[in-house]
Amino acid sequence: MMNPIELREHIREWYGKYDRYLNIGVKFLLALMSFLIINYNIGYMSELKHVYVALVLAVICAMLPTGMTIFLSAALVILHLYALSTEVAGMAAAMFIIMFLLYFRFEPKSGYYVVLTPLTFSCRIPYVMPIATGLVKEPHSIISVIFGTIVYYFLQGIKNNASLLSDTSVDGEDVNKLQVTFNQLFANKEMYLMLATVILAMIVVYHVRRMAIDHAWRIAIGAGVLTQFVILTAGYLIMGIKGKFLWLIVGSVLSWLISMLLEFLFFNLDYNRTERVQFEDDEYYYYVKAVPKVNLSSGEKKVQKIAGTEKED
Amino acid sequence: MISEERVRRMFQLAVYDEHKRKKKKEKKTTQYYQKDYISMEMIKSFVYGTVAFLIMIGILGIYLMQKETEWLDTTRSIVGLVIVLAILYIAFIVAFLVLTYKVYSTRYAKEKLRLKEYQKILQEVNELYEEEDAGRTPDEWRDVE
Repeated sequence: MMNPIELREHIREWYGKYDRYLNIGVKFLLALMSFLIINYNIGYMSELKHVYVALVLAVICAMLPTGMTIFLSAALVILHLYALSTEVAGMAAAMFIIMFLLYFRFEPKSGYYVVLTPLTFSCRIPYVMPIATGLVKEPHSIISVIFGTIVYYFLQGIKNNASLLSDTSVDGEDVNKLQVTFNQLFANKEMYLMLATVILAMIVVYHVRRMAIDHAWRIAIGAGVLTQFVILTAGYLIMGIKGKFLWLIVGSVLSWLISMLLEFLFFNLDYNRTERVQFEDDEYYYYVKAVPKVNLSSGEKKVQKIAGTEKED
Repeated sequence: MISEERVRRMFQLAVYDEHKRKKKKEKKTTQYYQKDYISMEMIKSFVYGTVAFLIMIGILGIYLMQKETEWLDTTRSIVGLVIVLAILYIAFIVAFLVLTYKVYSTRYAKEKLRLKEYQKILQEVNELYEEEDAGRTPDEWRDVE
């Protein structure tokens, strides 16, 4: 049985070796999941709903920088919503543009969390996001989780009211449509509850993990899961939202497990890549491959038994 | 003979260059004076912020119009509205610009620090070269030429 710390070092070493391919693979999977979930939930434009479309787009995203995944996801959402109703598509576009102008201008890479957050919501484990960002990121990255939460609740609201919003209904109901769209953004109490929860949990996790105590990360994870559980339970009770407790409990447990896995993978560990560079001086060309040092010596092999037969002369 | 000490430093320089090549944005940073860099970013922020504000006001406007428009029928209330909007806009854009200033001055400072480190290593490489040259025997000089 391998020591967990040793296993971690092996994973790191392995990652350092194949990081290029792994990154492409992860990007592909994430993009594919994102497109499939968008298609499944709000696939109103039948031409785009195909699995092949999602596959092709995901392949494109895997090759290009992460910004492409975000851009294509947003574009796909807007197109699907456009098939449903122009007003909703316009609203979504405005929302994305505002997010881009105000935040992603500073932190273009954080855009990934805006895609990830709705994904975790769809998988019923949104509680992972504030914990993960609290553990490995700076406090301001919570803004992208907040944006992701808003996007999720907006789209969820649109999905629930799709029949009201579809263009096939009578023209006279235009005003009503806008009203419904706005209500998804401004009058969604559950969204505000979730936003408050996410922000508080992130603050708790961030502060606890920076404390000078033993097992700071683990305590931070526990505190984060508990904070969210308590606030959401109280919130649901006060607002009278029913039928969410089961998934709250399951989601919390799953989030805790995933967070522990993150701790295992990222705590005090620097995923230094193997560096390959070349340079020259007057006399030589240097092709340098620098492999980061592995800190832990792997267990020595013990000789159990020496096989073989003695030669007889 | 290969000077390991020098190669190690040259490797650090090459890594820095390599990373910079990948992140083109950072490379730009230190090509400007701090003042120019930050003012450029602030001008960008001003434009971005203004557009974002207009969109937000547009959304809010449509939202309010859906709800009720009775209080908007006199010219006085319109003037009041414009004043409120102007104040909101100024507050918003000032906050946004202050934020921009903070973010980009920190970034510039960080990048400058990194550049300083780079220059220090470069200096060391030069010194090592000189040392090597000074330590050469006439035979070795002949080989070099």
